[in-house]
Amino acid sequence: MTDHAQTTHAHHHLVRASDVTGLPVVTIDGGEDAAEIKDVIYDSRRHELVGFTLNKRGWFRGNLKQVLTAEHVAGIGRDAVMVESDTALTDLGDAPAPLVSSDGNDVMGNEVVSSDGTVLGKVVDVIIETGAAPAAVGYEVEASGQSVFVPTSAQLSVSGDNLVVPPEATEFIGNDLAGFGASVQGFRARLRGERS
Amino acid sequence: MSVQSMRASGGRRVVAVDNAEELGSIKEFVVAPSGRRIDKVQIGGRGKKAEFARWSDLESFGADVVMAERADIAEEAETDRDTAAAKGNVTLLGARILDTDGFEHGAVEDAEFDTDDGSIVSVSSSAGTIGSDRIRSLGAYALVVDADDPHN
Amino acid sequence: MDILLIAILVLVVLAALGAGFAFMRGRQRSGTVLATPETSRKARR
Repeated sequence: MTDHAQTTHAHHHLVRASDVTGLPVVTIDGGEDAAEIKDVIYDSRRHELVGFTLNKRGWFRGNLKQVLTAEHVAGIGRDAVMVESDTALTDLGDAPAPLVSSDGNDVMGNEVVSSDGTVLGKVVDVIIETGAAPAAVGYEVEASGQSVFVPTSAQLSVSGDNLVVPPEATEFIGNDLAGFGASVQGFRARLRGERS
Repeated sequence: MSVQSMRASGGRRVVAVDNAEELGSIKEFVVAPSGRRIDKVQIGGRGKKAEFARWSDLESFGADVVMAERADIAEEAETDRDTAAAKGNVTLLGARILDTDGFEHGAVEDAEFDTDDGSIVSVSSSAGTIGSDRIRSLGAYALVVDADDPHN
Repeated sequence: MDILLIAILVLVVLAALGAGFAFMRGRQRSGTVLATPETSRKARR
């Protein structure tokens, strides 16, 4: 487990990225809601969480000229994203490029295609593993009214329209979020086995 | 050391020891940002015109009446936090309980405090009792507490 | 008659304001999930 001086707890769990958007950002040292989560941004190759863009809290909820980088997150839960203090927010001028530019790929609604040409469904959510090194670990894919979970390690490529996965990704699809963690481990092990 | 309930203390009369004058009654508690100490109590007035007594000016916090050292202890708000408490924006009772992992645990139903120094001993909600050693801060949004280890 | 007209006007204005607020809040509240663009990524260690 990586060490981050900022994080207070090392244990982790799975959350849906769409549930994280709109959550308040609350300071541990003050109990104040400093901002609200707008977009969730992750690295399309290594899948690590890059950070969040923010809205102001309150009636008008305009864009906040600050962002929250993954290193400064103390916790991501069902009800709030926690930071140590409001100094954990980064000004736009000092923020990493992916959190400032608007050329990120919106993956929600992407068509999921296996590399042998089969359409598996549509992306309805991204599953984030919280903890010391938060990362996108899976996609929730909907087809024919049912949801399945595909690990991000299965991803070959992603754009603003499509998500391409190898054919064997379908073997490790989990049907519920709780069981998904186990299938992620299985797929990683399988990938390592094939490459060695 | 005497430990009392914050909820039961609301409305208690405040009487001056030196001249027996009734100074007011407990309207609100002003809890420090640490969430672990009562700094002042609001004894009169409303909003920006609220009047406060410092905890150090209270001689004894009885089960029926609170005794103040002198009759002239009432002060106006010194900080935004005083006013926020008087307006009900930052209060321990009823505060949302939020842990450092980002999970809520209901709202504060009552708090126990030490009458000698105003320190909070514990807070309680329908989810259980939380010792003050786990309290990180109290703000307008929530009472932040350390998460259980491990969290589920 | 006049009172009726005024009442209707007030209702219309309130409805318009309400719709305006809801629209503004809806636009700003909506957040999404973005993957960094693959082509413009610089090599990182």
